[in-house]
Amino acid sequence: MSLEDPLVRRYLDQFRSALEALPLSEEERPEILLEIESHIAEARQSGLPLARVLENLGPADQLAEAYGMELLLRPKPVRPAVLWISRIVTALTTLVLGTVLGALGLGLLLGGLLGALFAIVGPFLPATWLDPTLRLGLPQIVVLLVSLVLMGVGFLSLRILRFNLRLLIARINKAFTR
Amino acid sequence: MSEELESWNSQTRRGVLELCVLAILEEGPSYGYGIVTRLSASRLALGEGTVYPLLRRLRRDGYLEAFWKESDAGPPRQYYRLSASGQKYLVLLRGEWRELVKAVKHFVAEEDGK
Repeated sequence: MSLEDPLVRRYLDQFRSALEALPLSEEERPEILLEIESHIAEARQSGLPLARVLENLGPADQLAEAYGMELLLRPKPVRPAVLWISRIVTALTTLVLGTVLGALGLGLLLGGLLGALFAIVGPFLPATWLDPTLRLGLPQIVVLLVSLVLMGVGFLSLRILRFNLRLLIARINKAFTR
Repeated sequence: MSEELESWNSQTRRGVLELCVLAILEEGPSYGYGIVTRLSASRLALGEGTVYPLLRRLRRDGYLEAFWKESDAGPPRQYYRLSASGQKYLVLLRGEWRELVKAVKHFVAEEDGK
């Protein structure tokens, strides 16, 4: 069988590797490979020498490149319904993330900062300046540690929000430059 | 000069290859090697490697539908047939082709007549 010939195997391996670089779906890649395998088998069956068959197909990387040229010019069309669902989900996620992470991040960061400040300078201030119940009867070090943890969580929330916003901006830029 | 001629040939044939593939499939479903053989016989294919990517693109565009069928020659064959939108697209391309031939004929005939 011609497909077991080392020359064919090498050609198909090269073609497979070259296809890896193309934006093809999981279904398309094996289908394309099988179609080229089928072509080689048919051409051999018709009596053409193997070297001629492969020569007619062109070098494996150029064949893959030809797929790239055709397919990259026309990306796989997305059904309008899928596109709209994706847009709505993205918009809602951004809204929820922006509101929750923004409020949580800023609130905790500022709260933690004030708590830490209170824990550090509080004892040095005149007792009449700050209501002692604000310390909830907790030792100074505990107030400081809890404040630092809250600041950390607030900071982390803001970082996650920044990452999501950057992602969103990149998607918007991509959509406009397409 | 032969290099320029080859480049001109390549560009011209690339444009009409799509029309020819659709026209072949209008006659009935066919598979890659069958289409390649017909195009090669009429010296239309630039290389067999150009036909398969074109078939894949036409399928992505929705002009072709594909199905697999077992073959005695080895691996199964992927058959293609025109979809309804492929049929409409072929009618449009045919119209464009007729206009093009008419226009080119006009100039080429003038040149020959000189």
